[in-house]
Amino acid sequence: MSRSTNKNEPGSLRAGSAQVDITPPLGTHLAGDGAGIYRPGKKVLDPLYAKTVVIESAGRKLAIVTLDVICITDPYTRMIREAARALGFEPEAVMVHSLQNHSAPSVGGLMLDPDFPFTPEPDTEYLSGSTAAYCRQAVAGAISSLHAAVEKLTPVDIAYGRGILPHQAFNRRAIGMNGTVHMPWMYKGKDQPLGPVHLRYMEGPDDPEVGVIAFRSPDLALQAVLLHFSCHPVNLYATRREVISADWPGAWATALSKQYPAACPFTVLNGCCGNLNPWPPMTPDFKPDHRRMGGNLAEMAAKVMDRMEFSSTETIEWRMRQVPLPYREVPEARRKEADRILKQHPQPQWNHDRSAVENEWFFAASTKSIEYCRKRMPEFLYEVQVFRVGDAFIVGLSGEPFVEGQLAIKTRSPLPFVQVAHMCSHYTGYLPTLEGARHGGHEANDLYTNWAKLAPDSLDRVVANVKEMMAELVGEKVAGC
Amino acid sequence: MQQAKPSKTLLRAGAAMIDVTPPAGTHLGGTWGTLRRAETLADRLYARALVVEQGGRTLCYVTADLEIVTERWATLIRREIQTRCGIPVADCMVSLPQIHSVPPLGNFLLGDEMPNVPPEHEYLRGSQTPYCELAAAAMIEAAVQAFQKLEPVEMAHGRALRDDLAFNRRGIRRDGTVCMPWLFSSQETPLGPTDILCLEGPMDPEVGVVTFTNQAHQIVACLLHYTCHPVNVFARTAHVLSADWPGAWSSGVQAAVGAQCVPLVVNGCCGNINPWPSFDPDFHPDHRRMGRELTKTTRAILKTLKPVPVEGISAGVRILQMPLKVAAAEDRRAAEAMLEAFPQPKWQEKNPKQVEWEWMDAALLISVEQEREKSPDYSYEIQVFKIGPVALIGLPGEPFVEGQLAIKSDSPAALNLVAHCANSYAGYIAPRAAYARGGHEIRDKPAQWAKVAPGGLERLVAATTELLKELP
Repeated sequence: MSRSTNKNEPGSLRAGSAQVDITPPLGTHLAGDGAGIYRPGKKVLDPLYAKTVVIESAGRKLAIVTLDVICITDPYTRMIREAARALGFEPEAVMVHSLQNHSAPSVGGLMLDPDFPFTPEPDTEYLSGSTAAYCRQAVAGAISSLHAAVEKLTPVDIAYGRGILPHQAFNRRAIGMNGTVHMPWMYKGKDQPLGPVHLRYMEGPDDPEVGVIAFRSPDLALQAVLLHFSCHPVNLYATRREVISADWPGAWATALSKQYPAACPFTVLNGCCGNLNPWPPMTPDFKPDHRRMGGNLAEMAAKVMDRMEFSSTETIEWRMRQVPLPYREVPEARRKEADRILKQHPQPQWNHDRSAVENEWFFAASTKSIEYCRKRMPEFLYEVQVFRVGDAFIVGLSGEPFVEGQLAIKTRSPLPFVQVAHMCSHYTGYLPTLEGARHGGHEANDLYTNWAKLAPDSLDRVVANVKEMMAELVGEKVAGC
Repeated sequence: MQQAKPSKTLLRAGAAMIDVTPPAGTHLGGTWGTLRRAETLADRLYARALVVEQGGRTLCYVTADLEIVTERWATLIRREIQTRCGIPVADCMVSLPQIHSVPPLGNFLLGDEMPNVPPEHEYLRGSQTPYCELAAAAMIEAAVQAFQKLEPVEMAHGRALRDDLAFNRRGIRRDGTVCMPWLFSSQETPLGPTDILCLEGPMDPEVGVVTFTNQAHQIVACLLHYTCHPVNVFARTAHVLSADWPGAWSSGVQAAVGAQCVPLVVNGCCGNINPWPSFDPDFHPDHRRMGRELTKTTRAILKTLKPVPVEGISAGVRILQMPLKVAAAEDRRAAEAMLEAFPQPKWQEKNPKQVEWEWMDAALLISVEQEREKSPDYSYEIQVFKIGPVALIGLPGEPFVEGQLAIKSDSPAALNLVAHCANSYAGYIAPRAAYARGGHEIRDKPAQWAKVAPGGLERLVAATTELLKELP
């Protein structure tokens, strides 16, 4: 598919990348908790960035825009795509990916549906999940990085590689002794010498792949590098909730920048980590450490890069689909219960010291959000993007698919390299496996919250669509399609 | 032999162990097509038995530091124990931990009726009868001694979790097929095993411990449950006789609680579990380290144990008829042609001590085909002992761990000790989803280790949980 050459022929591949600081001011609300819990950032541990990689061939170009934030919602994705359109990009060729970093703000409210009738006061704006001022800052930063990346477009060759790095990400769904699902947490060996004995076994796998796609100009300078790993960035969320940090994706990029000081920014794509956390479920006294994790990933990525062989390609292509997905059927009893609570308290029901919204109200509003979403879209239109660059696919999925979906996409891929980015474009909630949906748990809970709203077979439908799109991009036919 | 007058509530237990270390040169299981002689000794091997009695019902668990037991030898042992102790065959369980650096107990590779193996090469069938006779006699004697030592006891049980000593061993490759991850060095494979996408399934981290303590406050027997192929030594060296992690754990526990204690390892459904991690470079399998770690965990459990009331013991057996795989007509024809051309083992020219793979492959297939012609179904015996809140579950062959986890999840017992390789050898039994991916455990051509048709695991799980719920 690729041919080895050192020539820079007209029409051959060009790439550029850039980053812009989008670190919020201190006091900005950090997302990742339930509604009503105000979590202002009190200290900047690491800067947050918007980064863009642009790849161009024969006058057509695609962009991958990433933000070190927890989430980006549809209106803000559209703003970035509109800005890209002005630069000659087709909107379908612009992937907007949030790293799902839990020590950062959100760009757009993710906890409740936008049509949920809730108008926060200025001092409680954070209840929506984000603040307008930061959204403006982050989007402006993303658009600036896009412009800068376009300006840096340079003829390049491409190289791909992967390494296997265990013990950085762990399945976070444990089947308990009573058959229910638990999310394992850190524990002390002194307190629990027999381990977390309320657990029986772990439900699913993880994905140990460290993926690298690098673009190098004839002067041996790295012009863009895409790095791929899959894990919730929650090392600091679990240990120091007040700090602003880019967690392991930021630490990974920083560690590599130190090893390759003359290189471009390193752009991380976080894969389907809906059920992956960065701590082992049965290891006592484990201390999550985003810098240790970033350092380990950097060490492996450097080993991969040291062994890469670059070649030329002219192939770039893309596909986008809106996959209609059914919702979970909210049982009548739960619907009535949510209606009752919201009728009694049409506005947020605060706890006694007004430090948080009552869980009961928040969950009722979350359940009700599904109804509003359904009114707007009778079937949820789930955006899937697949980019092809040479011998690699870059897949953009929204929400938090379980890692099993990513592994299925990678299995028997028609091209040897696949990088999947979750949390793209808009927020959809978790996409568990059928088995995971049956087991329940936070990601498939029986309160029918907005983050667990899609029908149990949604992941399979998304994977099937991705596989069809991959096949289209290499000119293959998929059986049954 | 007379049983003591039964008491309805008094729990009695007795345990014994007898050395069954084979002489030098004895064939070790775990490989096929060649004589794998025991040349050096790392650990002595023991036959071990536990007898438990309450209200006139007596249950016997017999094990040994050996590999696999066939129905022929399990039946012989159970019948002889019935004769000598009066314990019914259905109340006696024979289970081996499947250690790969010791002899097996029975010909588990090629049927005894196959005419193609000369007596001097009996090991090609899987075992050597003289050693089987020695080991079986010791196992029977251990049971008899245990029965004779019955004394009032209190039972206690506990559990802990260790997910760092056993690992799923089915790696899904990027093309969707399955491989068995092996040890690798960081120098030779700096990027790790990049052909592997992920692991297929889970492992079972449960360390289960059941103790029987006599009136002198001595632990007389200790059931130890963990789930992993005992192949630490096998992976490194071929001719060392070792009891691998079950032996090391047993020794550690005995050292911790006293020589009067008979440790009996109950190795669970480890058909797809190995003792090394798939993605860790430079890992050195070490049965003594594994035994030490399990002992450390056992000591932590022992500190928490309190006697529990045992209000009744019971046992039950269920026989499932599991369809055998049918060889493809083309494969069978090829196998028959091979055995017709070479009715006796065809030895490799370059290595005359090793049978040609093609010949062995043909013999393995015909062995299952002959079994299937006698009966299209394998009679799969599920055996359950219930001792108060603890269940001891015997399953033949090497079921995948997913089956054990499903049984444990649905069982009404507080602690479930699943013993694989119990009472006969049925080969690997995998979940339906795994059959599509293939791999060592699920080869297309039938062999004694891959003979049960898809659906077996799901059926045995359903039948076992049903039996567990039926028993009082």
